[in-house]
Amino acid sequence: MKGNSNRRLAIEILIAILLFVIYLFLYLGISFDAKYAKTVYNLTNENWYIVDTTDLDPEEDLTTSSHVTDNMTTIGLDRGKTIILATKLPNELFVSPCMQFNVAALAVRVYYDGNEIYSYGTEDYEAGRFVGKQCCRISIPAEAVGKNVCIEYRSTRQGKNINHSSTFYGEASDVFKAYLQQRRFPLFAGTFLVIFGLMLIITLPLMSRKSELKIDMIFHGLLLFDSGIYFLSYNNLMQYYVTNNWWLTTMEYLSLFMIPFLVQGTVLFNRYVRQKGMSKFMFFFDLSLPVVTMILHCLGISHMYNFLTIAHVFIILQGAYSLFVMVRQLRYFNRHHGSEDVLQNGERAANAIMIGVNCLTCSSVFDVVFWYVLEKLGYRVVHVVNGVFSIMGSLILVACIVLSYFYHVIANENEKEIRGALEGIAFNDILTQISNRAHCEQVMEELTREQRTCIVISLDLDHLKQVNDNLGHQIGDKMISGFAELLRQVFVMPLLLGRMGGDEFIVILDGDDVARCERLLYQLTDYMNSANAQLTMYSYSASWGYAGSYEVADGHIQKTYMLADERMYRMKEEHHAMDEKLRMEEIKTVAMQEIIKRTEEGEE
Amino acid sequence: MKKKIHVVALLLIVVFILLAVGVYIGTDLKSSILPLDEGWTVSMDGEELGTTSTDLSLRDICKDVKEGDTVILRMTLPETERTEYPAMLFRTRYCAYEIFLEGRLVCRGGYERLGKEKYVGKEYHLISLPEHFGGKEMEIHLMAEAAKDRQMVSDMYLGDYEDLENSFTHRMMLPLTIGAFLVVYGLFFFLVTLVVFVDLREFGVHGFAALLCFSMGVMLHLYLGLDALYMDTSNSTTFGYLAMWMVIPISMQMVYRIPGMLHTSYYRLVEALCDSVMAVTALLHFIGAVHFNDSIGMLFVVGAVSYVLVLLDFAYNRKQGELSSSAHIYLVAVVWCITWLLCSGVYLSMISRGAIRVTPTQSFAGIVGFCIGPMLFGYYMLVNYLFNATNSYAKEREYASLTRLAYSDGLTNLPNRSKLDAYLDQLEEKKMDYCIISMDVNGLKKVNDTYGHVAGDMLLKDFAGVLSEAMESVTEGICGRIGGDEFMIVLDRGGKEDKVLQKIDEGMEALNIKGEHPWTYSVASGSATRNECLKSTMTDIVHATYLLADQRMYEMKREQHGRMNHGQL
Repeated sequence: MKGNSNRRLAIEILIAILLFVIYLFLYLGISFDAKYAKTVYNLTNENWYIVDTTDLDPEEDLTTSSHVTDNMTTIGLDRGKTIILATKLPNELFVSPCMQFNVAALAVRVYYDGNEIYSYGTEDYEAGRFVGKQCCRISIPAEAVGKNVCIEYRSTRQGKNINHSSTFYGEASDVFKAYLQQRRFPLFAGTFLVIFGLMLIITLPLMSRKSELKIDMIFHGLLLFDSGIYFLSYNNLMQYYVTNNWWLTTMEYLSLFMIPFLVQGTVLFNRYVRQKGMSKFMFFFDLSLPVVTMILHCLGISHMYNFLTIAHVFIILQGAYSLFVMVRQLRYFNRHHGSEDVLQNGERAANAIMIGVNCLTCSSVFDVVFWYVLEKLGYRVVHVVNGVFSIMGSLILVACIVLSYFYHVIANENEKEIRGALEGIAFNDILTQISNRAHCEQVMEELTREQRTCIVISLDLDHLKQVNDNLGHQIGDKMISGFAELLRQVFVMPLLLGRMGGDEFIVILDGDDVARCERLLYQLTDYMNSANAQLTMYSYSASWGYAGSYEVADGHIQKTYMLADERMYRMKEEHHAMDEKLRMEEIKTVAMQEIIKRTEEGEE
Repeated sequence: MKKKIHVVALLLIVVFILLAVGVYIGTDLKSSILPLDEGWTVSMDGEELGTTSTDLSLRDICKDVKEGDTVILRMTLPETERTEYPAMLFRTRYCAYEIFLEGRLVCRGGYERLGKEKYVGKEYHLISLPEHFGGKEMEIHLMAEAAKDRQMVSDMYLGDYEDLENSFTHRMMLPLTIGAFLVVYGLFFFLVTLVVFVDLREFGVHGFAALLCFSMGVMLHLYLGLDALYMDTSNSTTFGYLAMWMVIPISMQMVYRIPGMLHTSYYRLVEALCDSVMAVTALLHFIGAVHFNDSIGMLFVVGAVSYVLVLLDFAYNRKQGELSSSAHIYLVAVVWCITWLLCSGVYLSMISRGAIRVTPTQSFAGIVGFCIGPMLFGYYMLVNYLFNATNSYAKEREYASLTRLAYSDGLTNLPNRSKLDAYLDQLEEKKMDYCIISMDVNGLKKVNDTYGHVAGDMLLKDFAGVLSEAMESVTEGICGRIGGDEFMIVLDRGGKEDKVLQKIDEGMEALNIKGEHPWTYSVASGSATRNECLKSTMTDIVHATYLLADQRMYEMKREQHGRMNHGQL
């Protein structure tokens, strides 16, 4: 058993490794068709200089100005403050030259020769509206090629760092294509998560049986759907699907804020989780985040982004809590999985999902921490695909959900066997393999409900106690199973053949053929006698009584059985009386023999 | 449940189609996009051949064009609003191209491959145009690779780059998302199946179903040319056709491995035949003799043949009725999927060959149809999963109650013999020292005979109550009833027996003092530990320990009888 769970663990680790390999492959795969990497310039920090004015001479030598170094790109700008960066464009002629870079929470103006050639976010900023993320694509006029251009960044938030990410310059179509190319992985992963989650959400309510709504599985679906939306938004891919700006921003924040709540949902509704009180609290606590911020956001009181730090705290808290729950659950599982192996697949499936959910939260937490570290320490985000670990985590979650699928499939495929095994144990008396008491009761109830006409025979095996006491349990067991075998041979296809208790047996025959019943019982006596002829240590002897369901009011089989039982007792008493009589006679005979002996001895 | 699944599947399809259509219609574009398929003056070798229009396509005009010929299209572009990023979207089919604007070369492609006699497939191209194209003259030079397909360029649009890109993605929303989904989905399932069913014999239906999803996802993206968005390989057409071909053997293998399904005797034969046709076709393509696009008719024929075979098997198995619901779902999914693929594949093929003329809406419908099959299949697989999952949850409850029955004694609700045996086996496996106490309730028979069975049951239940109370403080051990009046306690280690037995005695004394019933509660017990029986000659130590405990119990019983008899006499 231990070996089995180790195997499972090994499988899961293997899956994680495979996923990592796939991720690396896809990530590195950006370069397997690197045409665009060669034709597009990546204007990194070395090319940029800090200047004072936007009215820049196109030909001026910039090297005299201060260079933009890695440290300086994280100058915390106060709201409203600006910084101007300039570069000399490469002197390559393109059909349609284009410069592209990403900004977040910055208003941007691009100038050539004192003229503004591009602007973003200025109106919104001046109107006091939220300035969100933007992928700025600037069409460079033909005369600007090979000359200086400058960018004015204006911070729209307090303490906003200018993360001057890579600027790409080249043929417009190449630049645009490279953009999507670099986001292949989140494109596929995010789309997959969204659709998979959507499918789960749509299907589950329709598939549930009337009694139980599979709430925990619905939460899995929601979590996947939500994560997918977040990854697509975060990697600026959502704009291919949705064009409304307000929705784009809101979606990104809302999906992030929903994550702790959805994670807690999967924990709370997991049927094997033990701690209910705390889980419920966390559930509503997490729910407050998206609800409150969404209300404030929609009423225009406070934009959602203001709560970003709070959301991160929620994520970290939730991550810690679900990790704690999972560890407890796994330890309990390892300690207590007993002989009920058949039921384990359900628990294993739930465990798999819990591990997956935790991978997601841990990786999200890691990403959050990573992001803060980057912000504070001021390192440029090296690769374009952000949220790396979270995507990995969500894919591990999907793998775990798929794994749990297989546990269920395996359980279902073995269903017949499991059922048979359980039923065998549940309904059969171990020793005799005929029905046990529980089953007998069940059958009797059924027959009563069906108002079936039948004859109930109650049989009692005589002298069992003596045999057990004098010859031991093993012999006693043999006697019981032997008797059951005799019953099986005599009563072919009864409605029920069972053992109600130690030495009590029950047979139920269909119909009201009393003559047949008598015949069979006579046959039983015969069988017992012929068996006894072969036995030395003990002999079969039984008392019985029978009654028909028609003899009892409303055909109650239990009452019939009791009536049969009474009649069985009468027979038993007769046997006892006979036994006593025999014993008395035997004692008399022995006593007589003794007297005769003594008389004979006395005479000598 | 089965009916529900079909309803749900159809519902999902409807939802997705509505979404796709909605996205397509409801996009607001900054500036309009200009379709450019009509109005080109076509000439070759200086001789004018005709002008394209809605009735006269490029294919019709170029009837006599041979391999290696260069065709020139000329048009004065209409005036439009100025756009920030003027661009053109067009699709080339099996030819090399050069685009000139006002005499200036804008872009060219395909010539290197043609020169090396490599396969030039169909591709979408989205290229930037210099500043403003309104009113300027554009010239397109096309060099045909194959003599057959003369619709060398199609789906031409002019407009702003981002608008073109957006309209393209919106038009292709359904295959884009479904394809991406199926690729990742299939890959996942395949990997997990591979790992879970490490023993490849069980790999069967699940693994191939996963591969089928993956293959169809790849096909959707590559055959429809969507990879132009995110990849730059010139081999996509080849791989697209390969993926399409692969659908046939994979689905046949999958159907073959559906558990419980009976197959006609010539299934394997037909399958081998289809596989060899595919191999030959692929070979012909790679050596350049007959390219995939020309042999596509073969693909449909082979597809139809295998489809008929699957249908026959389906009908046959339906009559026999031995399929589990899971198998049934797989089969239905495959049949539906291939049906849609065949129908829409033929339709799309005919459109691209120019055999039928369609409006853009009809073409869109064709693409939607092409996606329905794979989507249905992926969805059925998922539904199968959910069906199993919900099923097993329900079964679990049943199992729980069965287990209760299986492992507890009906009368007293204590663990029964099965459970005790299992517990002992576990302990024995760990080679831990355990202690067995065998107990026998005295006087049950007498009570049964004197007061009836009901009274006897009550006696046992009372004792069971005392027993479980005594065991409450014991954490490592269980008690149970193994027979009529026989009970057993198993403790995880020796040493605690006295305490437990004492508690039992106290409990019974309490009952006796209460005197609710006319009988006296008393029990005979004997205990033995594993360590004592290690030297036994018996192979089954558990049994040896039990026998020893039983023996001691009998000794106590005899003692008790002796005392009673003495008392009587």
